This record gives sequence, structure tokens and C-alpha cells, in this order.
Amino acid sequence: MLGGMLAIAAFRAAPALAAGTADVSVSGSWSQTIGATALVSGPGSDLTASYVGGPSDIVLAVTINGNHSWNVNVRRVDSLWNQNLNLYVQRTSDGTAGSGQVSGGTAYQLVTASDQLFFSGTKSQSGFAVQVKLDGVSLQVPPADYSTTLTFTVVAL
Amino acid sequence: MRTAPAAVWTFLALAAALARPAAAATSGGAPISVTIQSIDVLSVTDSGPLNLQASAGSNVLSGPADSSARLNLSHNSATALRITAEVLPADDPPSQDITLTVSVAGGSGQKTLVLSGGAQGPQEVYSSIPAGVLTDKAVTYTASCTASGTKVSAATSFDFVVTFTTLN
Repeated sequence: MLGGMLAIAAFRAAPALAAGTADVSVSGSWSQTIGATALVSGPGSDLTASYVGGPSDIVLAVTINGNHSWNVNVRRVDSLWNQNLNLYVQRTSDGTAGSGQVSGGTAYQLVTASDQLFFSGTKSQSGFAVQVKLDGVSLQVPPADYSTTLTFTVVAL
Repeated sequence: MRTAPAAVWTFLALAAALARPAAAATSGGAPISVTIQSIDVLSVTDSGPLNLQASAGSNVLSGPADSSARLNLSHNSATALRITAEVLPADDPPSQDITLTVSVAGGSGQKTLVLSGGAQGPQEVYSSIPAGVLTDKAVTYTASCTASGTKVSAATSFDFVVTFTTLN
């Protein structure tokens, strides 16, 4: 009986070995400087709250053995951040190379300090363009250089 | 039918379990930077004229206040700001017995900027302004003078320049 249970466990775990060497490469960055020119209507008004990066400021590529499926998760790793600032990402392309499928991530989603599913796919693919949006900017955010890293993690399924 | 010993299955299961975390996930990062600059922007529009007249037998000339000027402020300083107003000596018409006051709606009340022709230095017109905005605050000026101390041969305009300053 014990041998049978172990056999089942081994059978279920074995496919993960075949998924093997999933990898994600990330290129690009995004920066935004906000000053008095961002006041909505000059003195007496607040700052424009929302800012959007270019549609392909960040580009991802996923490499995986064979036809296996994968998820890309995203989270924020802060160096200095303000709790009023909200960072969002969306996928703006289906990739430019690779024969696999891709789904999800095409609407802005809030990025937090915890991993959240961004999008999914199959096989190796590259050229996933990612757009960044920032909101929550106001005069209540003290002046400073805020920085974080959008961290993308590929998980082989 | 051949079956493997339990020890073999145990080895395979452990090998699979140990191998999975190392192979399943890798990460990459894209740096994001947001620079919020220091913002301290104040504007005050010009007032209208203050017309002073005397009644018969009175040495004092006075007239209605003017509240047409507007003050606007945006700032994101971590510490509260205050606003002062002053007429610099260079901007004070000389040798005339004129008194000029100012107040800002919601501020520190009426302050005398010029007393009998003498500039009074910076006067606090608004205090303890947290990060945020002051929008469209009415600035009210009053003026008065004496006939004996303001000698003119015809109707004359005296111009004052009032300087508003934000301070920590």
C-alpha cells in the first residue's frame, strides 16, 4: 500500500522535470519626472494624477523546453516608494516571435509587493510588450526620487 | 508483472520534489523611477483701484475696500508653509501719509503693510498651510490717507507693489 502511494506521487511530480528550464528575460525601463508643469491648471490646482508609459517600454521573452505551458507573474520590489502611488501594467502585444499561445494581461492590473498572475502562454515566445501606468500622484506625495523594480517571474506548469 | 521496490519509488518522488522548485521559476526586472520635484508655486493677481475721498470738514480720506485680487498656491512641502506680504521700501511712494492694509480670505486677518507712508515689513497673511492648494482666495486691500499729509494739486494715483512670499 505504501509503495502504491509513493508511485502515484512520483507519477504526478515527474512532468515538472520535463518542463525544465523556463526562463524570462526582461529589457527596458520606465521613468517619469513630475514638477510644477504637471499642475492641472497652474497655481491653486493639484498635480495630474495619472501617467502612462510607452506601449513597449518593457519587453519580455519567455524560454521553455518543448511545448510546455507557463505563467508570468509580476510584483513590485521597492527601493523607495510612496503608498499613494499605484503602479499598473498591461500587455500590449502577443509577442513577435514563437509559435505558442498567449492569454491574459491585456488590461491594466495593479502591481503589488506580492506575486500576481500577469499572463500565460505555451512554448518559447519573445517580444511581449508591456506598458506601465502610474496613478495616485498628488501634492500629498512628498518630493523625492521614488524607485521600484517590476519583477517578472516565469513559472513552468 | 514487475513492480519496483518501495525504496525506488521513494527515491523518484523525492528527486522530483527536489527538482521542481529549482527548475520552475526564474525572474527578471525592469527598473521604474518616479521623480516628484519640489513644488511651491504662488500667484496673486492685481487689485483694482482704491479711490479715496474726504467728507467736508474731515482730514481723513477713505474709500471702499477692493477684493478683486485672487491668491492661488500649490505646494508639496513636507512642512506647512506660511505666506507673508510686504511693500518694499523701493515700492512705497515717498512722503505721502497713506496707510495700506491687506487680508486674505481664510488667512490671518487684516495686516498693515504701510502705515502713514512707512512700509511695515513682512506681515504674515496666511499661516500653517499643509501640502495641497489654496484656490481663488480673495485678497482684500484697504487704503486711507490724510489731506494734510498727502498734498496733491489734482487727482493723483499712487502705485504700491505688494510682494507675497511663501516661507517654511
